[in-house]
Amino acid sequence: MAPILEVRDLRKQYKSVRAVDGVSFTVPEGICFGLLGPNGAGKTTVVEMMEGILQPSGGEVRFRDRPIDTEFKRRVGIQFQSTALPEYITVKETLELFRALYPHPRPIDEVADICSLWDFLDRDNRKLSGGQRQRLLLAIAIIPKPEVVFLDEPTTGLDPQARRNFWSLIERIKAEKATILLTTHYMDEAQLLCDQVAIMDHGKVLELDEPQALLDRHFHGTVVQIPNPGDLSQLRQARLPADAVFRDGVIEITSDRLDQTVRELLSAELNLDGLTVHKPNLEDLFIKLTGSSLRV
Amino acid sequence: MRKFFAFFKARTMEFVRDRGTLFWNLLFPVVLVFGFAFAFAGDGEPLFSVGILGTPDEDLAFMEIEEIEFIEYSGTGNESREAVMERLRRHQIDMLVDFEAQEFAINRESREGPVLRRLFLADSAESLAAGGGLDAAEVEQREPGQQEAAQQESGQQAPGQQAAAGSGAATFTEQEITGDPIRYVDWVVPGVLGMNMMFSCLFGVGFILVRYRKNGVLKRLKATPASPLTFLTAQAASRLVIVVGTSTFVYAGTNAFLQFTMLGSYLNLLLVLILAIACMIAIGLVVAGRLKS
Repeated sequence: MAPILEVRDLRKQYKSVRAVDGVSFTVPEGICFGLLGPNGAGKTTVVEMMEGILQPSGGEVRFRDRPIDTEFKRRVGIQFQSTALPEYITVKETLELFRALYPHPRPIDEVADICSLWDFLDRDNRKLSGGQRQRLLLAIAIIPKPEVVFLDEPTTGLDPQARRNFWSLIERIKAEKATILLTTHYMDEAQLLCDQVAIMDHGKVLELDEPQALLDRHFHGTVVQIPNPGDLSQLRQARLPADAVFRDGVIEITSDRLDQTVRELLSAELNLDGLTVHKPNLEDLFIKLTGSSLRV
Repeated sequence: MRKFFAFFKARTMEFVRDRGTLFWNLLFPVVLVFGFAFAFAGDGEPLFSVGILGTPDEDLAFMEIEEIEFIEYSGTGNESREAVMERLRRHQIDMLVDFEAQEFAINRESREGPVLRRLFLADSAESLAAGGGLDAAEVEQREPGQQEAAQQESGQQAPGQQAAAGSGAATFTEQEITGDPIRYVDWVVPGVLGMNMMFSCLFGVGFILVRYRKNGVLKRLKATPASPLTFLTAQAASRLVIVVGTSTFVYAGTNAFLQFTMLGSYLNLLLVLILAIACMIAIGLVVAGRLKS
């Protein structure tokens, strides 16, 4: 599928800090593309340069094979990581305000339907809960019937239920064939919503592919984790499986044969309280790629 | 224009629904004006105020009355005879004695004027009687209607002026003028309106823009096809309408109870108001453009 967005060697320098260091990727039309990484990885900077909000220090962003211009703003919808809304006006009035800014906006009823705004359409913006506020911001983002929707950490700070509700809204927008560019540091969110992910850290893209393809490339088998396995002298004497890694007080083993690994651990006479077994996920991949846990 | 009116409407509604701002812009100035009017109401100074031009005649007993405050004016610049007459017209002083021109003037509509006139004429008549002129009692009893006869008697003719009496060798001519008093509150109202206008423009445009920038509203709008010019002109236009409206409300509301003295044209006043608001909004924009927080 032809890319709708293309990023070429994008760079951003803030005095002595290089926030983005030569990032390149393409976003095919109609998919949900995830930019993953811990706080400070540079994903928001990349997204804001793609939105045309920030001027890159180098490189270029292309939309439908053309540099982004004023027309681009009419064809994309944006939900920022943190945005205040005009105060003392209601949700409906806010939608009317933003509708007036676009040439062919969606009707308010349609937006309210998609984002489930009916319950608080006449409520003052200042009196919205976190989840309602995010739904309103998403509604504003989809008002122009955008070809690309940028969602920058849209579920940060929401409770689990509100997050799941928000995911269902994103699924509805995906169903409309809009291209979504999502940044998040929630790996479960990315795994559920994204068709392609780019994992970033320190301003660079470390990996880029479909989530399952990335996992298949980096992991075989099952991850076994043992927290608080015992003191160090006991560990040194124990006969652990060959690929066991001791990190941050946790033994982590990637096993192709779970029964054999469990037998080895039992024979090593370790404290197995709290042992967990799970299929590798994006978070495991990130830890493997960066050698550190997520900085939330 | 659709974008302009959308921003205009949003900003105006934000103002109207923000009760705190509404109070400060509408009720506070009214309360301030009434407060000043109340605080400075009453009979004012217990003394008479008499303006003096030229070198005073120290022999005149009138000049030694302790209850009178004598204010000497230089006769030039904003203390010129015309300027001092304007003060008399506005009841800022009760009488003017011009020793150089040998004239005195009172405001016919001032309560203090006739009293001072009597005091002054009585004193002058005594001096004149002592010098062989008119009888003091005779001069004292003259009412304004009889002054013409007195002028003819003394042989002085001055159109619009009335001859009075002399002090020693000098003879004073009386001049009467008219004019409503300007009370303290009449001076306060323009000041309060101006202050209200300045605060409203600086905070309503400058402060709001800085706040929008800090909380990300400007960034959100930057991501839309709306141009900064459309947004800023809508902000300025909204504030212009609000300030004209609040100033009119404050003026009309307080005038209904206090009946101000209004000199000049309301149209000119409106024009000056609009220009002043535009200037203050421009300053607000400059401040907002230069300040980061």
